[in-house]
Amino acid sequence: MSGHWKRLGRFTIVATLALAAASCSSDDDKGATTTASSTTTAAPSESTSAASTVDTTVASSTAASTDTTADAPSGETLQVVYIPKDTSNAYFNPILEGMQQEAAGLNMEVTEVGPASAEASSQIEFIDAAIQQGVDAIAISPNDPETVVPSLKRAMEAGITVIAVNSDMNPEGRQIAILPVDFSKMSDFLLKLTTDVTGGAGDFAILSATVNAPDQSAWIDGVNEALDAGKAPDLKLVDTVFGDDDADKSASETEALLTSYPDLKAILAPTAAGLPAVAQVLSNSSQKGKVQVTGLALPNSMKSFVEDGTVKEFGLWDPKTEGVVAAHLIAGLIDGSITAKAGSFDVPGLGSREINADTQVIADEFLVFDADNIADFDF
Amino acid sequence: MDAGIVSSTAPSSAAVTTPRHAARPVAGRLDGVRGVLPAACVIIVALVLGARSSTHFLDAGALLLHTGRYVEIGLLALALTIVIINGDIDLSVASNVAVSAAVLAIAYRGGAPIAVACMLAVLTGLVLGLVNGVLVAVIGLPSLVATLGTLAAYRGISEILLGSDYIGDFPDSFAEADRVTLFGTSAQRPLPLPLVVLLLTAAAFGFLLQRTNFGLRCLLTGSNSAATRFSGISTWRVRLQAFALSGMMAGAAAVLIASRLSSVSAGIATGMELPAITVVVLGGTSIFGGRGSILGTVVALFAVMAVREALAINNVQGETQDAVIGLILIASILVPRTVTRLRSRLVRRRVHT
Repeated sequence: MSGHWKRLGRFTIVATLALAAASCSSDDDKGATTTASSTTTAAPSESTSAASTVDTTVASSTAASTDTTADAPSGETLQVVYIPKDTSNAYFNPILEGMQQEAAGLNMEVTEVGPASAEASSQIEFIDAAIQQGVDAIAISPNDPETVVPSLKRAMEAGITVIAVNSDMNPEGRQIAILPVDFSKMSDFLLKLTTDVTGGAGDFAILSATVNAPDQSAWIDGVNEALDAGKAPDLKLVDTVFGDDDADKSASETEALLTSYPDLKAILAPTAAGLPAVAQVLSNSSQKGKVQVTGLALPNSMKSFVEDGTVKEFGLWDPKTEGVVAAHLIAGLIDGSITAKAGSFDVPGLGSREINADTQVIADEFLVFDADNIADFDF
Repeated sequence: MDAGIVSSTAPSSAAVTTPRHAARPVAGRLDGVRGVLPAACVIIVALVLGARSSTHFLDAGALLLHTGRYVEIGLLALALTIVIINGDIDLSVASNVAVSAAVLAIAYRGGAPIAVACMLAVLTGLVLGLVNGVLVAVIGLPSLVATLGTLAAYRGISEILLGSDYIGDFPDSFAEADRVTLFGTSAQRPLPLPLVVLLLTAAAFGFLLQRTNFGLRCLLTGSNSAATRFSGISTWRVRLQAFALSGMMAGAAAVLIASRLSSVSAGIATGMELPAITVVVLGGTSIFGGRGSILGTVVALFAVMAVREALAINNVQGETQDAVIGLILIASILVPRTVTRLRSRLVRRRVHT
């Protein structure tokens, strides 16, 4: 057993020496070590002491780069990192797109980096790396309202501008939050969609996410209140069911609704995971066209159902606007023209945006997708 | 820090000349130092590549502060080293962390002093570890299947306990312990508290494995369970104890993670078993049991950290980072195996000629 370790050991030593030599050859200024020791912490670290030759090389370049940033702080391109919930979700692409579209005019460079899964603590290492890189601003779509707060507080202590984009968090962790739309108007918007597709009269049912999903529950309560207040006198909500944001469960609940309520005119699904499943069932059903489908979803998940006539219209908002607002907000916070308290600021091309008492900015209005405009969106 | 360093001076020729199987437990102790080499190699490559690609990378202060994120993985890996030396595996460690952290948070919210809540967390970890141990060592289920089951079951329990809640608002004395630094002057305290906790725990585990009868029994159990049993050692007890240790360390990791994040939710520590097992195997511990070292695990922890930090400073996306860690896990099993096979083929050829 010991022999191959010995060989591996020999290989390791050779490889190490080769790498160390390679890194040393690019270094021609050993004198820089002394200046570097003041910029890096004079802490005995296991890792750095294991490769002191490497340390020398890089310490000198660190010192050099620190000098250049100190010389010309005003002319520097602003370095901004955008951290989405996770990198596999196409929803966050337009946010980055919006930021990058505005970045050039603001002397800003936006980089997106994020975790593979939307697990709460998975964003922390990217925040830590951004602090270490000394970026000027972090824009983050937090995976939960609490977990990233300690890291973001540290970023702000290091002088980094921090904003939340798309969902808010504990305000201690950010300076300002950008929300896509005014969610207090959601119930009215959902009722408008239902009225549009039914012509304002008939029975409809709601397929929601889960029984205790906080957002959906509040919106549905709002829809009920609006109906009770007589805002849509000829519409009648006959049932509310829960698809648990699972495609199979949503599909079977939809089939049950179609069987139980033969006079159903529409199904409203205010959940992006549920609506495509409802539309899928109806596109293969004899009820297609007779029972309307609407709600909230990402346009890419609904394109085929709009094309085949199952869905007349549904809604959401354009995340790209959030990105555009974010870029100008960051630039303003850094140059001092915007402060993190109630007020307003101007976004070129969009107009004025208000910062409310909770230091939140609402980026945009709700958006209705239909056959005419859905091809313009890719998320 | 580790007795393995001392035993490295023992002549390696002794291990070569004695029959392989008889030498195994002894080799297990000696391998401590040689097992470190692949991980050390990874550290150096990662540091060199990281440093060459980003001028911000070799910032000792930042890197030391970032150790907080890896200490929890390290605690899990230390106990996993013992479990894996026994020839078992514990896939449920990360889910165990989640339940233990949930108990901590719920106890604290229910009015328990934070110290009591922490003890309850460690106790919860211990109990869940014992459940694994009973399933595997007493009832005799294969550890891979049993702990895959508890991986899902424990995560389910944490979701039942917490639902979609975030429990935070811990007292200042408890929150963000990874910011507490020790030693040195008041201006320069280089060592973060969790790192010190890890190094002390590692020393204790090193002692346990290298210098106690328990450690010897583990190495024997892992190298030849039947022979060990016939020689009068109750292997089931050794394996049960290892699972209990693994659970207890999960409880300890839960305390550290709750403190670092200052909040607890049901999804906490999801996927942490992958880096923990990677660290153990990269550290030279044989996934087939019978051989391994604590020093290797500690060095491998810093290797995984160096790789992740080097990737993160270059804005490498999370999925690529996960893929790299997965590949390192495969490579750390594959490379020693391939080297062994090539060697034995060479030896055979020499015998024939």
